[in-house]
Amino acid sequence: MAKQVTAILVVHDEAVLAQRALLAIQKQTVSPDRILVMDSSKSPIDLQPTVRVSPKSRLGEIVNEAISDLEVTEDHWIWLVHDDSEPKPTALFELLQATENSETIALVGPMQLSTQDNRKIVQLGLTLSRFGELISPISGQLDQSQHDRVSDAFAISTSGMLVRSDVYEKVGGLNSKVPALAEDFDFSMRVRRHGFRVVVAPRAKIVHGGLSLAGKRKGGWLKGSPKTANRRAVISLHLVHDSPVLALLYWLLLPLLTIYRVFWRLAEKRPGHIGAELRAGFWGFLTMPKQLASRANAGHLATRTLKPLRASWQEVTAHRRADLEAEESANSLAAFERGDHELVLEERGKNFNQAAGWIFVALFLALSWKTFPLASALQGGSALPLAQDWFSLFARAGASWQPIGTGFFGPSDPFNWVLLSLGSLTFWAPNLSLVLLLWTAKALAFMTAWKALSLITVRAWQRNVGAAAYALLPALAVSVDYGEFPAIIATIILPWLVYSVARAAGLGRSGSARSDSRTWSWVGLSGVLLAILGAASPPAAMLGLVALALVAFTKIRRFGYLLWIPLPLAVIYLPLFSYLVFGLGQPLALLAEPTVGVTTKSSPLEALIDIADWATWPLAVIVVCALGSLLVKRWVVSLVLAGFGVLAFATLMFTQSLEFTADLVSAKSGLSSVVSSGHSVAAVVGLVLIALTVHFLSSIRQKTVLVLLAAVISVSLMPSSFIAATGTSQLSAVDDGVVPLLLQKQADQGTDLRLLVVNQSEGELRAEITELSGTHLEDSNLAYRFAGLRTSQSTENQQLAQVIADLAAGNGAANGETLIANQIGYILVPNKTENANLVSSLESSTLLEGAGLTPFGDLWRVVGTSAENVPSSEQSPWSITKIAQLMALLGFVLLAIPARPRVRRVKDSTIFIDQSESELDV
Amino acid sequence: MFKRLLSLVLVVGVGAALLTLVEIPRLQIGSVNEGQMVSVEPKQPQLICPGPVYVNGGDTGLKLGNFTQSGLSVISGMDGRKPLLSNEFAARTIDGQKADSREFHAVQSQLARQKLAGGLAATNCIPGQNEAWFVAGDNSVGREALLILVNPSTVDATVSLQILGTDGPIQGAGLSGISAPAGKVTVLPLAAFAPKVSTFAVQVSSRGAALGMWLQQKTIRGLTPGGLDLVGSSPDAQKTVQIPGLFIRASEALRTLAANDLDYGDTKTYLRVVAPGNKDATFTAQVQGADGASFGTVIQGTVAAGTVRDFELNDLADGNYIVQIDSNEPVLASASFNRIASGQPDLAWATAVNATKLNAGFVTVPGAFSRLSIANPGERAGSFTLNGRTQTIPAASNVEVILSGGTPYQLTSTVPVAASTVIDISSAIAVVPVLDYRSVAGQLRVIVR
Repeated sequence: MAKQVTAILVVHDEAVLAQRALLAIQKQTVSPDRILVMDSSKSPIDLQPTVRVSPKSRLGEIVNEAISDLEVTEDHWIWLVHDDSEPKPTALFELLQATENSETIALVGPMQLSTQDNRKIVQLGLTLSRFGELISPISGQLDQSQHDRVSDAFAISTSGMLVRSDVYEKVGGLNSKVPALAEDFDFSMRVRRHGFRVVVAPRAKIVHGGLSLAGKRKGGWLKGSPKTANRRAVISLHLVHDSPVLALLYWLLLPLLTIYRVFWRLAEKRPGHIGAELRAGFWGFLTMPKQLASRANAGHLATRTLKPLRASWQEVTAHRRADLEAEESANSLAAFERGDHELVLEERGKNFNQAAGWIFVALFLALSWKTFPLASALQGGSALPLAQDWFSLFARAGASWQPIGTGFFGPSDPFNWVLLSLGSLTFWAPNLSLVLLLWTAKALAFMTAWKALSLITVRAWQRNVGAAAYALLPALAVSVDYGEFPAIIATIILPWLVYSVARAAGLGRSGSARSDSRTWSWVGLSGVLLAILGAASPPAAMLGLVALALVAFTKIRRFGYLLWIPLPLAVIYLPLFSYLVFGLGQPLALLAEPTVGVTTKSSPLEALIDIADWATWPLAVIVVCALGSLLVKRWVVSLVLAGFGVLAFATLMFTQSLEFTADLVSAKSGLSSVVSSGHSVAAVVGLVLIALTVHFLSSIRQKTVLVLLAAVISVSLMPSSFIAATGTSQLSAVDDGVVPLLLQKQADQGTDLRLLVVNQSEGELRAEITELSGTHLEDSNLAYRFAGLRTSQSTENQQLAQVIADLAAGNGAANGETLIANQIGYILVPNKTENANLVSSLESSTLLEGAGLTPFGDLWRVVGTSAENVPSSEQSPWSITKIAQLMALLGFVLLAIPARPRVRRVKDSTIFIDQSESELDV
Repeated sequence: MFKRLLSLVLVVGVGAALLTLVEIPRLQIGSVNEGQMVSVEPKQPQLICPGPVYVNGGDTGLKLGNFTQSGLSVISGMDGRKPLLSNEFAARTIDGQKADSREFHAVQSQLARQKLAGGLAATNCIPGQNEAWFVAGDNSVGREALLILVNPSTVDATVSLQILGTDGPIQGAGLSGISAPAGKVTVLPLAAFAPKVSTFAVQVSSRGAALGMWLQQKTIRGLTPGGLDLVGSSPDAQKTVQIPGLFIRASEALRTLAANDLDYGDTKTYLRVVAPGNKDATFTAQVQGADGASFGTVIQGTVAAGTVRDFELNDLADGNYIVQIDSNEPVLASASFNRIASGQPDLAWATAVNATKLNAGFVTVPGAFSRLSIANPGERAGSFTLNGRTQTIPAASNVEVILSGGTPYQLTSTVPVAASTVIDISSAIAVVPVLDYRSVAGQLRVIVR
């Protein structure tokens, strides 16, 4: 019996294209028996004969409407043509020819060609990867008849498909419950699972615009972006076609899978997909009943029978690579259009290695010989040891339960994230990282400054001199001597941040990143660095944000990238910001520097240089050169930089005028109130001056003058080098412990018992409640410090204060029950002259039992308590906020890690993909 | 070029204006945790007096190792408005009504004329202590240093000693775990731990109970008693140390004695300095005359870490001095000097005294010539008020005030000062520091973190 064909042209708002498609159908060498034009456009098109359907109708509904009155037999075929398709004259003939090969062939798809280049294949069958990703295995190749054999396919597109009408009806037609992009796959899979074959007929060619996939359809055809639609399709196919157990498991794991995929997208440097992943994940999780309903009539064969037709790993890899190459190619073209690559053609400088940078690094390490890491921990100045185990550091990071005082739920200092990161580098001994940091601080500052100065000059010696001047900044030297870890970290990070932002924004001599993924890498790195800078020095971060805003508005095309840089900073600061601003009404407290702080009140100028020290005077040469840069070529750049320097100095003046309340961790170091050392903001001013100096040097052409200037600057750095090598450090080597060994051992075993450290000072008693392991650097907490007044008025504290006073008076009235109720297991009185009477009083108390004179002071055990009776209650170090913070930070770290080069390898150069054994040559 | 110059002028101008013209007022951010004021009752005020001099072998001197108290000591003092006066044959504990030294204080004295002990032993009655340093003592032939530990409590105490000599810590058995039973007096001959050692310092640590602690130093040349003193504890090591009350008399006669008989060599005036830390201490000691009337001397020296050294203060003419020590590391110090009483020398140890803004009380020994030696080590002149009479005291100087015997005094100062009373009975000599102690009581600020 002769085959009948009904051509259905589906039109949706594309009148011109539809006209062309209709014409192409009419010009077929084998004419269809009837042609139906189904119009779902918002405004009716002028084509005859036309059946109007609702603009909101899905493809399946339109086809069902079209064939409702048609005969359904084995010999009646339906040819579906989209309005953005233009079949070649022999297309229908070839499709019908393909059906002759086997009676089980029920669905035939054509080769789709590009509208721009009719020789370029855009699709020849569809398939899924092992994980269910939608793949068009043959795409982008030139049609050289290399695929001219009819072969089985996993799925075909609905555009140009020829389907047997009875099979169409048997499988339930195109399923309107699945997402738009899944309709093709779902339909083909149903046909397959009902025991019929799906094939592609490459000789049947159809030019296809792919408007839906490109997101060019009006009226929300895809119900979201193509990325979202694609992901929804994948999820839907899993839920509809996986085995019931697998489908249920997939649905249950979908939230976790979505999170994983978000991070994977970040690692891929494709953050643009994150929104699609999240939207589709939510959609899949919430529409599970609807998707499960689609499982009805999916076919009696299991989906696993289609496995041979799925894409192999090689095909998946090739498909991804092709996608990325297309993306990079598009970006490169865009970059050329912007002229970004012109700068790269300029003179290239030596790299760090060629510029003898490592010799300078070695020199700075040698100059820092006094801080050579021989100690396991450091104490003194502003430094305290970190906790001995990594988990304690983790417990103090983020907004969660803070075991400070009697414990509270609130935000920790953002700087604790930095300490956690540093401690993680040497997770077996977290203090080691701080000791190493102190030794390498100047060398690291040199390296980061060297990179930053490469934005200004290509000449290696100028970068070396400038970076050396930065590493020898008096502010950094003092920070190292006093163990001001926040200022040290800020000084090291600052030039790196400048370089990173410049790369992300396409500023400076290095030009912009050449691909989208590299730009995202720089954005990720900038975000992480800005967060570190902000955690270490809030005033410096403020300046950083001002500079970033300036750059973003200067490079407005990059605004979309630069906008994301402050995100990690916002994430780590949000809990503390809310607590200080809305909880305590202390917005200026946000400017307090983390950790113990300093007492030395210095003027803004003194924060920059120690005027009393003659050795710092020669640095005036740098100031003179910096001012000189305002008189040379590109003086406007100098003026902008100088203006920023003046702003930084004004910020320094403002921060130096602030005096913050000190908590007892600070008070332990003899501080009643703390001030900003200003050293991190001084580093900003220093970097601006050095950048101007290098700019000045780079603009001078006379060799004699250059040599003279180089000599003068080098000589002016000598005294600073001498200070760096001979400076007196306030730090002393200690072991990791900050409490007697007895307490450390008990703490290691896990107990909630607490230690009360009492000091007597000028008629007052200062008591600090800590865990048995004592107070470490990460226990310094701005939220707790500024809430000090509130905490001190709690009933618990009032009762404890009474007991402590009674114990100190030695009057025998102290209530031991209060100590036990507050789980105070031990009392420690440090060795101090002022504590002599206190020791006598405690010694006479019957509530206490002497535990010996330790290197940390006199220790007593509270009678009636024991570590065995108060086991650790294991407060969770997690909270939803902390999880969100951690995920955001990890996301940015992943984004910052440079992706491996995606250059096509030689062995991948073939454009032909090996055909799988399952392919059937018919 | 004009624009460039203008930009230069602009930047320099703004920078200079920021540096010189703009001054941002200080802002205090955050409320200071001032803690809470807590009312506390004081503990029962208590002063411990050591009682009469201890002699080895009983009155006959034949029962060696048996330390007994010999003679009678006189206690005088004040408890609020109530005078204290008693003669004691043994150690005594005085329970008072008032908590601080201004109103509750006592001094004990004994002019010993025994066969085995001769000289003036005067000392403060003190509240119990758990830690004490004694920078005094001599165990060479004919010299005896005893550590007297009075435990007035109902709890036994365990005592540990650390003895520093000229070569560092003196090791030996029995230095720790020494029992000081409740309600008993424990007398430890330091010769048992540091035999024949002439220069040392002792640190005493008590666990379990606060003790009254003294070091009794005695000299016997042949069969003749040649000096006696009860030495109180020194304050903790500091970089600046003041020793008031170095009142030198009969210096020529003592020099003659020392020149004619080697056994009188220890009658010279010398300074004992201890470096208890782990770094060598280099110090300058200035012996300063009172009111500028007596010119002293200046010595410099180094004491190795963990050791003790004696430094002779040669050629000091008769006069009233104080010693001011400035060191690069914390040190402890005392000065020893002698006087001739009834033809025989009597020794005295002038211990260091913490400079504080005094608000203290003391009583002079009845029947004694007493003088107050008061030093202002600070850089600021001030004044002190003694029983209502105010007197200025210049910066970095000292003054001497003659006191009446058996009289209670109230002493306050506007600047940190260190003061001792120098007691002279029949040319026998003793130096007793003015103590400023107070119990923790009343309103007390407690900051809990």
